[in-house]
Amino acid sequence: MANLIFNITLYHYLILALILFVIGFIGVILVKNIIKVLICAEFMLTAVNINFIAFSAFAENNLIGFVFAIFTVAIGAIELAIALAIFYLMYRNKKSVDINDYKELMG
Amino acid sequence: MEFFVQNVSSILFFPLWVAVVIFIGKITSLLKSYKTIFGITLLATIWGLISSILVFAKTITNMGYVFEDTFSFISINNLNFELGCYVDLVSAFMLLVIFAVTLFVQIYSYFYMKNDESFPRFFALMNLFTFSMCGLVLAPTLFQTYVFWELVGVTSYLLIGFWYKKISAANAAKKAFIMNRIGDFCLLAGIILSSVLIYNYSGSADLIDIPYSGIDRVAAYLFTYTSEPVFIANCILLLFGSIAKSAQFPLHTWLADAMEGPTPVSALIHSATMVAAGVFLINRLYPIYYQSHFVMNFILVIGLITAIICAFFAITCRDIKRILAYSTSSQLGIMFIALGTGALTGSMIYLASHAFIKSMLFLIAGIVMIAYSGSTSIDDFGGLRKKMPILAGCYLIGAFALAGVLFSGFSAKALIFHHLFETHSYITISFLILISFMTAFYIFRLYFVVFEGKSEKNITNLPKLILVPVSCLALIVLVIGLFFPNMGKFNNDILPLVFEVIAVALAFVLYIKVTNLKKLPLLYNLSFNRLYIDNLYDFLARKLYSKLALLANFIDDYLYDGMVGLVVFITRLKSYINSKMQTGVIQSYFAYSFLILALILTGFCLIYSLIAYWVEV
Repeated sequence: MANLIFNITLYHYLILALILFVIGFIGVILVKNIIKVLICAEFMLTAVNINFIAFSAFAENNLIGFVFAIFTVAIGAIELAIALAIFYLMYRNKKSVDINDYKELMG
Repeated sequence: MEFFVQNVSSILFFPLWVAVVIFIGKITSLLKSYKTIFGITLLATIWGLISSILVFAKTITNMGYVFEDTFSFISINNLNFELGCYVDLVSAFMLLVIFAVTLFVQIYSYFYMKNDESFPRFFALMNLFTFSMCGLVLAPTLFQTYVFWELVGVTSYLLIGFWYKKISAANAAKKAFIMNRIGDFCLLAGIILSSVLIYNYSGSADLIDIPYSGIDRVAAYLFTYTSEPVFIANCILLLFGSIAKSAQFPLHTWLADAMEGPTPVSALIHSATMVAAGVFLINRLYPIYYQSHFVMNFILVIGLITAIICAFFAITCRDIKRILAYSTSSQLGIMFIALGTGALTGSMIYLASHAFIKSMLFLIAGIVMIAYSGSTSIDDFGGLRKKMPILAGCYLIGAFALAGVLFSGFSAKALIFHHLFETHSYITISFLILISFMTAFYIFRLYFVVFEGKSEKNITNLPKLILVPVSCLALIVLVIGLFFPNMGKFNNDILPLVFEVIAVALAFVLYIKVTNLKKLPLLYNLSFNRLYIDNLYDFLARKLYSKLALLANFIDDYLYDGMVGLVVFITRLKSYINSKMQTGVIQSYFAYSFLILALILTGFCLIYSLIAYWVEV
């Protein structure tokens, strides 16, 4: 048991990433506040990053995963900035951050 | 003479051009004068009459003379269908009869239709009819005969329903068309069947459209290579075309109703020319029918049944035009009898004599109708002899000829009797005597009702010239008998003559002294209700057929429409589900896309592992 807990292997990272991803996914689907949805999307992004870094660290002489993770963080920051700007504009229109108020696409 | 034979197609196309000119003139209202319309029609008809006289002279002087002028109409590989003109003795003879009758009927119709606003339509249709009838008679192949057979049917339909605002006329036209449709369908089936059989058995395509010049070879192929039942079925299919057109027994009911049309139409189409087309076609295909004893007997029996029952109906009928219509059916039945016993010449001569007699009688009926302001019921008529002696004289000539007592009718009937005595068919002779007896009876009954007796009614004044065509036809009836072949061989033919004279006397006695046929209730009812055949057809059409139509309607509604409806329903359901998926909530779109992506990835993984497993094994 101690071996299982303290001897950290690749699977620990993968399971951590999976848990983070599922939390983020459930949050994106179920939460009604736009800001929280955005935070949950960042959770998913982080989970993927952890996957990249874990694989990269456990493979020998391979830094591609780290590079990819840095790229993802940078692009994620930009995405976040744009998303916040869009949400701000939406908020100006409707004075609401509830996702149920934005149903104009309903068929 | 040679010129007219070479250009025989001109008599075919002049009436067509005239019809087109009248039609265009009517549309553009350039041709308003009735006299001009009548004039150009007459020109085409007189040209046709002169041509046909000369063509007939050419064919009668050179026995076995045949002129053929054809062009290829449809040509697919080695299959070649030809249209054109084919002149031999029979077609030249028919042409002569057609144009002689047409000329007088057209002169008559000018006076008859002068005050009708549809005068141009009438003459356009009459010309169209002349065109189609000549095309039928001049057809070199059975294929062309069928084309013009339908054209004749259509013109007949249009002319029966000429006064289409009258419901009875429109219905009569429909009835005639449907009855003829049955026959035409059988004829077409017969033509296709024989074409296919000949193509299969002869191996060459030159007889595919059944040319009349090679009809003997066609008959030989058909009879030699097919089995007996197929051959008989084929012949009977072809015969049914003739039966419908000539108003013979199972399909005879349309002719009496066709009398709703204008009287000149009845005189031309439904007594002299179109209804004779059936007899003409049998004459053309005679070498085929002649192969089988059964088929010949079939023609004979159909003719006998029709001749007897239609004469029987005519005895009690109370409508002047219907009496003449039943008489026409009956006389055509006699032609069928003649054909069935092999009296080819007799049937054609009888056809000609009947054409002149019957068209004259119809013209007289038209004049009588005008005199009594359009009434056709014989109860209104009476005592017309004193007011119109010429008309009564003409009618008497026609009646004596039709009954076979004197003139052309006697000569033609003598020919048939002569043939029958030569072939010793005494049963047929006895039936024929019975038919002659009935003919004499009904035609003189009509005479006594219309021209004798007394009537208080005033008659309408008539244009004097209307009597000219009638007298001309009477003259033809008087003299034409002298030109028939085999005159002067009357040794056996006194017997029918005696019966006919007795019938005339009986009609006189019954209609002057008794004036009542209702003393034989059973026979009277049967005859008056036309053996209930019309009621039977009515029942078939109205009850049985409507049930069948309901069934078909049900199948159409629930089976075929149901299948289409199912497709529609499935598409609707799919669209409904799709539209419900469009919630507008972005989170649900995200969930769908995630789900689908996951599915695709899972699928890829599965396929990949399967391939890996398969490679390993």
